Amino acid sequence: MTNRIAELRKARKISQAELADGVDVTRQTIISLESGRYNASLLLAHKIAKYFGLTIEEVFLFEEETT
Amino acid sequence: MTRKNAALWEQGINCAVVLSVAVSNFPLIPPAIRHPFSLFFILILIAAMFFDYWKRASYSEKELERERRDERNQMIQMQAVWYCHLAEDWILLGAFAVFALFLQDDVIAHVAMCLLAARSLLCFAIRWWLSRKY
Repeated sequence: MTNRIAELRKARKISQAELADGVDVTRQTIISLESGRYNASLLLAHKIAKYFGLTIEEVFLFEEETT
Repeated sequence: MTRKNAALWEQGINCAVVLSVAVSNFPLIPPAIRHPFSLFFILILIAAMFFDYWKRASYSEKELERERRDERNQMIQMQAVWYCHLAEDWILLGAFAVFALFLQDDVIAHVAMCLLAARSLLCFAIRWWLSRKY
């Protein structure tokens, strides 16, 4: 799963700390999400999408696994 | 402003306190070596008190609560507990092998094996209970 958090945040000129405050997580969590080291829970994904005024699918890009 | 993880440092200080208490009272360590650890223990306690004071002074209650609630912190803590559980299993199994095979001390070997069995059973029971709950 990839996400557009960094892109959306920079476009809106929001700092990582401000986003962290807005969705009630630590800045480390935002850093990990942006770098793709951590995948958000459904609840956090919803909060982030709501913060940007978008849907979850517009922020988080799900890639179907090919087996 | 969000600073470095205070909860992680708090756990680190707690570990240092427990370790220094354990070492300074461990009967198998000669007193000559143990006594310097008592001083170390006092220093660790002072550091813990200083850290607690610093934390209260520089972090707001809201920030500390957020760190505790943060889902990534909780995930890391759960993974740490799980790896710790696996490591403890291997340590107990190793202790059983060393005491039973090399040191011929059946009592300690069986205590290690009983602890391993009790832990495994408790883990199974808690997992069963949680699988029913969720």
